[in-house]
Amino acid sequence: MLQSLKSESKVIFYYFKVTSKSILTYIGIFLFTLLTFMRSSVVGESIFTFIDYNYVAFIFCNLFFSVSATQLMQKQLESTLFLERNLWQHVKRLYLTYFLMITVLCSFVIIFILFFNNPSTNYAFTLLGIIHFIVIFYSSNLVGVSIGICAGYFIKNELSTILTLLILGLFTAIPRIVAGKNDTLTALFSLYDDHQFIMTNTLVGILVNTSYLMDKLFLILLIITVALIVRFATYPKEKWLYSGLLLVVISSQLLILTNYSIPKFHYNYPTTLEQNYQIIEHNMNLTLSNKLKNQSTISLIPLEKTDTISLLLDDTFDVQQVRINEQTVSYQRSNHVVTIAYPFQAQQQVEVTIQYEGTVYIANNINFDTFYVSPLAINLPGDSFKWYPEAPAHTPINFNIKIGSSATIYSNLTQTQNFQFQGRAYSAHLFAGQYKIEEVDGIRYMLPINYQLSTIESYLQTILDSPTVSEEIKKVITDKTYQQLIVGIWPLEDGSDSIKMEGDTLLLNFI
Amino acid sequence: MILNNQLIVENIQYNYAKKNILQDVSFTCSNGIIALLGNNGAGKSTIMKIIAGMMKPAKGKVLLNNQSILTSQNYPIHKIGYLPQDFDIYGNVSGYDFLSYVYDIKKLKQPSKKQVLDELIAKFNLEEVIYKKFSSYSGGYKRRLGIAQAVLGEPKLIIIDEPSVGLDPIQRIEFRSYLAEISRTAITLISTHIIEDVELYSDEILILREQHIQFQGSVEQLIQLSTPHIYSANVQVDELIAFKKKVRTIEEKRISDTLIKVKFINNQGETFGNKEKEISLENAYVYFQNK
Repeated sequence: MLQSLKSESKVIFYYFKVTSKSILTYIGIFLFTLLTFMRSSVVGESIFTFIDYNYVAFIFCNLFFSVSATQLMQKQLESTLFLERNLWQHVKRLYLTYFLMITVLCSFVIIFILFFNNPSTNYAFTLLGIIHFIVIFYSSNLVGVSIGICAGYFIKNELSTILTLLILGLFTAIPRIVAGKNDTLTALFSLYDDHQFIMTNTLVGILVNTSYLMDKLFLILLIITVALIVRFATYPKEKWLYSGLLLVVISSQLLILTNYSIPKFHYNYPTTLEQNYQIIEHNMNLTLSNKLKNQSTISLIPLEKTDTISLLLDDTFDVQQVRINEQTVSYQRSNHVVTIAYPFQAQQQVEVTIQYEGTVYIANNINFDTFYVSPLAINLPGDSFKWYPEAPAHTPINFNIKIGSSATIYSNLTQTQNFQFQGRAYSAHLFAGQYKIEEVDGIRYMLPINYQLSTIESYLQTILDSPTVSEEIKKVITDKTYQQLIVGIWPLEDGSDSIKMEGDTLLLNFI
Repeated sequence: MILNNQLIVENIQYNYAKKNILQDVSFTCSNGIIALLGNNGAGKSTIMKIIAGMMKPAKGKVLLNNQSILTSQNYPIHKIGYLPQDFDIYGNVSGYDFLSYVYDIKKLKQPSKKQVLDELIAKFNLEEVIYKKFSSYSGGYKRRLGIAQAVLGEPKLIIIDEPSVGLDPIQRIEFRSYLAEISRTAITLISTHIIEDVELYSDEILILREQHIQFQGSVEQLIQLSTPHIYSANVQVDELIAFKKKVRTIEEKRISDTLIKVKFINNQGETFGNKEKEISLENAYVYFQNK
């Protein structure tokens, strides 16, 4: 067994030599390396921006692997076929060889990333960035290899190279042609980072959510589909089994194609909701991981005798239970509103506890990650996104939030202990992600890692001349009366300001 | 002690596009050079490929030392060497890389790979080119590397398809000497249509004609078989055309400006001419193909 594995690895090494000792390889690797090195300053900003911007280098790499695989496959040497016995065995060895080559190249790029990486990037984001790079690098190159092997097998002459280039060209062209018109085709057929068609959100890096996994799974299934087609054509045994497998794989792809979607934010929170109560205090027991889970306890005083009260809460969340003074009560959900039924007495304070949870991954109209909760990145601006139950009218209330999260969280509220925030504010805002902290003249700045403080200061100066910014904010900027500045994300399409003041915190929109 | 190997081919039938290419092909052979002769398109390469396990016959068995090689799940490549008619490898690797690959893929168990390869390289005089890219090899070197890879691991059966194609006379002499050496310990099955080579090196001949093996025996036996039927006559140049209409000529040799010596097959008991004494393998082969 060991001897057999040893021999097999040496055979793979022979193919490694066959592939690497070619002018095509030298050109491909030279161009890939050159283009990658030209992006060294971008790695210094963020790994994710680098992966996004470096797609041209990836294209060259894919071209090299696919053309190389085509040429190796179309040349079906009799001596090799005799020794390897069947073409499928040969195909498997080619796959393994290219996997090895991809691994070697990938390792160099990882070293390059680690060397030029932004020093402000924390360990977890570096790891996530490298994993994201590996996923894109392997999947895109293996798609190229699969196309090459398939074309080389079916067309045993130079036309196969042209076919390979055409098919690979389609994978580059389709997402560009349909970008902005069809999210599914744009995402699923893109071999590279989907953010190449929109601005990269440095703060979030990448969200490993269902859409991301479906997107990558689609490419893996595509690789398997092509490999199965070649397996089917080259090896006569177990055809029924493999045709069944092929059917399952293609069905799975169709399932992904028909179910893929990116949740979008629509500005349709009700504006005419009646408020017949006053919130005194809002306590939250919040878990922020791949999901947002919250037990929200609101102390409120009904202003009149009523049978129902209504609170705003985004429909993203599923309410599991509502209790009033520890008694379970009924409720209704509709259009981002939770309507709670209970015989409320005027001026009689009650404690309303709402348990809810949901996956927060909402993009804006151009697919820019806007509201999100992940183990590493969080963007929950309280007033723009109803991530906790709140009254229609904004009034300052006391917040007391306990958070379970692996991320370092920044908020307009005061951090009293680890993962515990308190304070009186109109809204509670929570942020986490690729931030760097700078402190100048007693003011803390939480900036995206690729931002310079000087850029922010210049931006604040330009705001002073803006007619849309309130005089109150301008005064805060001029007098530097804010204690901290946090760069976050919220949609501006509903007329929101790109700069807001919450207590002693100045919130600046990243977009 | 040299072990005698045995190859048994039994009732091979092969069809292609509803056409019968081989029908009940059977023969047995042991160590030595066995030449498979046949006209172009007779099915020589098909037999070779079937024995090499690269084509599947509709019917029949191939046994090497009593072990069926076509039905065995793992074709015994370590026991068999194969040199295809158009031997080619990837042009950007060296001959050494390729021999090393053959050694590994055959999972050979000799103690030192380097020693085995070095000896093989020296034996086939490949030292000068062995580390150069295969694409830079001359036709002769390519053929030498081809034989070297076929004999690597001392196989029991060596299958060589059209070995002399593309070789110049010196290379053919060289090639014959290699074959003579390797066939001492292995069954060396060669398909060819170059009769001259067969006469010089083969121990046994198989003639494939009309989908069957029509003859199996030595060169001498084939000649002996044809001797009673090959005649010769001296014919005037101006009578040659008329003479050729009467008989099936197999060789013409100019004696003088007016006289030609013609060898012909005497199948119908013609009364002219004399029994020919100097019969070559080529004469015998042509007789056999026309009888």
